[in-house]
Amino acid sequence: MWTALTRPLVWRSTRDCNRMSPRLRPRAMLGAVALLAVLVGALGPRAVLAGAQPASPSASPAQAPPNPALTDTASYDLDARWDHAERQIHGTARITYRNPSPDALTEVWFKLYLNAFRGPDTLWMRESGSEHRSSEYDPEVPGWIDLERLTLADTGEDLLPTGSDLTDTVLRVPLPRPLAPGETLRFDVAWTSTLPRVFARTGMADTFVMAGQWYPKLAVYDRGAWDREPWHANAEFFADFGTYALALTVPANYATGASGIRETTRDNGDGTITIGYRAESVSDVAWTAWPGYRTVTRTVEAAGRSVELELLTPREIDGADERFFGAAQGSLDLFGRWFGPYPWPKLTLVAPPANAAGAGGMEYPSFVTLGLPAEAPFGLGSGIREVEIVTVHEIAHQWAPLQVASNEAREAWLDEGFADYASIKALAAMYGANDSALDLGPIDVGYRSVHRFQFVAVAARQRLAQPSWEYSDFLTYGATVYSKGAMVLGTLEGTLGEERFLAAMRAYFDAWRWRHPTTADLQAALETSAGEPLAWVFDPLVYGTSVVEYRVARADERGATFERRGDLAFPVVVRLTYEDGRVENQIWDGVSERLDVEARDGTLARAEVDPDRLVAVELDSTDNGFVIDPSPSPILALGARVLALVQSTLQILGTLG
Amino acid sequence: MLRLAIISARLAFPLYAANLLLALIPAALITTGFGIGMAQRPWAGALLGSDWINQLGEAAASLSSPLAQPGESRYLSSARWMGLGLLTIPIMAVGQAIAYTFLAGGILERLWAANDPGARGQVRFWAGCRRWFWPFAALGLLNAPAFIIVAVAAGALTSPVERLLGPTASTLLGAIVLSSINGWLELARADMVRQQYRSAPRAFVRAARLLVRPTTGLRAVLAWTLAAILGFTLLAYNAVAIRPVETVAWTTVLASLAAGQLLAFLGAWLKVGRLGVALALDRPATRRLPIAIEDPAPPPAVVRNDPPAAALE
Repeated sequence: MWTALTRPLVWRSTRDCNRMSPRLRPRAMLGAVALLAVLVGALGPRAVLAGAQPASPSASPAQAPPNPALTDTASYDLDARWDHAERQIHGTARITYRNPSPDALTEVWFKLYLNAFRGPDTLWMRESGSEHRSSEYDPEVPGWIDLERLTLADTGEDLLPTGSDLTDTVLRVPLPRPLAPGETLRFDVAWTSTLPRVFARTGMADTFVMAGQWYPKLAVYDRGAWDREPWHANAEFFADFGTYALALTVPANYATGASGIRETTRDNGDGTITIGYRAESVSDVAWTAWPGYRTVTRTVEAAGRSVELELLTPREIDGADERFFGAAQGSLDLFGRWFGPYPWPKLTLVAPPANAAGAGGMEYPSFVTLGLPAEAPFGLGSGIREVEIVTVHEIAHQWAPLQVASNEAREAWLDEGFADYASIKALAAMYGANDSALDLGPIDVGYRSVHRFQFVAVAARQRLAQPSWEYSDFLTYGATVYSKGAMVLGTLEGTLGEERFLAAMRAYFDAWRWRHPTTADLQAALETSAGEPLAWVFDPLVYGTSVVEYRVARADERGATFERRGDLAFPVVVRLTYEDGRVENQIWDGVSERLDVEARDGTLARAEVDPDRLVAVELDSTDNGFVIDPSPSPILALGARVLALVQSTLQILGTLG
Repeated sequence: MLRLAIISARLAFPLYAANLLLALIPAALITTGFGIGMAQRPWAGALLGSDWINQLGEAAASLSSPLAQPGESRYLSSARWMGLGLLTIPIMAVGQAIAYTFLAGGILERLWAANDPGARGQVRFWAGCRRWFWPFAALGLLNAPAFIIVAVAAGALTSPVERLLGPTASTLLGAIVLSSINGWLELARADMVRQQYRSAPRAFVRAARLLVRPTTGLRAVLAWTLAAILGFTLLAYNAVAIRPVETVAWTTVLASLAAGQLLAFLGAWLKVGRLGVALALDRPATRRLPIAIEDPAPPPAVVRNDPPAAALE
């Protein structure tokens, strides 16, 4: 409603409202770029870059253009053999890397994520306190990755660095010759991954295996720079797109699941089988294997496409298939209609066993790990919607970051905030807004309410667009990137209207599919589609730490006073309801801290600000309305119920024996 | 049966009335808290609907928002009143226990008289309450720790059931076990009244001995299982009866009040019924009926034909 009235807003900066924009750069960097341009023009690119060895081109990441959409940047032909006795994956791979940038590259970087679990003294462990969600690291069963061979496939040149770099989670590999833009390089790699006891999404428990981030992954080169950040505890992952082929060898009695399509199965005659998987236009591959799985497949229709669903659950869990499939099909259909159809032919859903719960709740391309259904008597377990929430959330990730691959470590809110914004909408559509998280008879909790609470209690004054490792702890990180992120996107939806916002998000996905967007790119895509500037939302709420808060300060039959208590002036609707039933709405820009409104031609019955709760980031919605002459009946009805509950309690406690 | 039902319903009334009076205090405090915080908010009625937890969550979140007032706020006052109300519940529970201890004697005496009209003659209700209050108080002091100890031990036994048969079976088994422990303690009470003794430890032991008899034990378990099912049904219906409603007409208020009080009365009536079951289970244990029994006819005089001593000389 207020889009036609959008005007520049004044917002009061606090000491926390520092704008962290990637568009601001020191003048020295501008000068360096100008100098480089002159040198390149005069001497030619190779000479300049040879002289600049070993550093990367000095183009500022902020000014270098992003790479185009490519689905063949980093392709992996992987061979993995699982050794249960040693809890190791023996792997070899042919990695094909095509330089996606306009720059000549003199080095590549690899991510060796498993090295985070070498011991309690790694950066990851120090930051996490050796805990991840509710799992604890077992120092007796650590994990790591040993790179044994790294050569150029065409020439056999040995590229393997030596020294302590190999034990870190990032590895720099200088190239013998620069890799020109668009040129392809092929690496042959051999390694051994030792898996920890299930922890932080990966590992083994008894005979169960979940292999995530299990192979040496090429880092991303985009906007003129490599992603060389080591793996932090609060951070997730970032990779380019390519084609993955996986030949997975496991004991013959194991059932497996992996990203992509299962193409071949071969009995090796030695008690093992090799299963061939293939996935195109993906940024990762993960797999699981366990003899205790039962596998159920089903083909569903989602947004006009057929998708094969493969569900792997422990054998003893056989009554929840419809919940998993229902949540998957519903979310694939809704997300497909909102953000573009699911692009792969298959989706694998994995519910790890109870002793491997740390492997659950994670997204990989066309492969998600979930949780087990809660058990409760009299069928009440189905009302605890943990299965649905995790399924829908992880499937939302199939869009971000698994199609629009933002840097999850640097701007986690772009995928986590999106996933929970989308999950709130989808769960409300499928199960009802008031009980989308919990539906136990009279006890209903909506998923949005969970995020509202986390946002208000923890994250309201946190900055969204900041690296994951800069949050003070996991709770603050989680509440900010998940909950505040969802509320900000919800606010944008309320601001633009659902139809316009979904169209703008669809445009964003279409523009950035198979690329690496940033917060600025999201803003620009939304602004282009919506046809209006949105800096007034992004600057204070995403880059800054402003808060929105309005209330009805006073109301009587003759009028009402509204107050802005937050430091951000945000256009809101104020509504006056008269005793004769008449309703008046007006837009308040919130610039002044106070708005006095007089009743016109009637007696005021009710005054409200943001009555439809469109401003999801408002801190306190409970003071947004005031009834001038309320009926006592609601409170009395509440009292009657409270009385009955207390009576039952006293009977149970006070009449024993 | 109808007569017993009517008698037991009349006996349930004092128990229900005590329950109502005791519950009024915490309920009034909690409701005052609601009134202070929410009476003039448009969403007050939503607390009676399916959105009530979400609304309360918003109110709770507002207390922890970065703009929350450091001093007095409407919701803080509201929370204080409600907190006070919640704190009085354990105190009222003690009051409920005292009230039940007092009323149980009169209930048992009247039920016994109703079942065996010639047994005790006309025992007045309140006289029975006064007579048995202190022995039942002593019994009550033993009840609580005994209940907790046995309940914890029984809880350990239900875990394997959950693993084998699932949470529904283990919950039902747990309810039956708790009902049975309750029944054992009720049987102790009933035995004291029927046997007219005042020793609480003796009552525990005698009740336990009764239960190990196969016929009595089987009847007891069946009766307490039925009682557990009824109790569970009442509890479940309690949840349904207070199900969320979206509109707040005055009829809704009255219906809500009536439904809640009906359930509370049924709970009291169930308790009286359980005491009646305890009396019935105690009947085979009766060794000495404290009723006036006509002395049996004196044995015939033994006529000895021994000759008089003088005849033997």
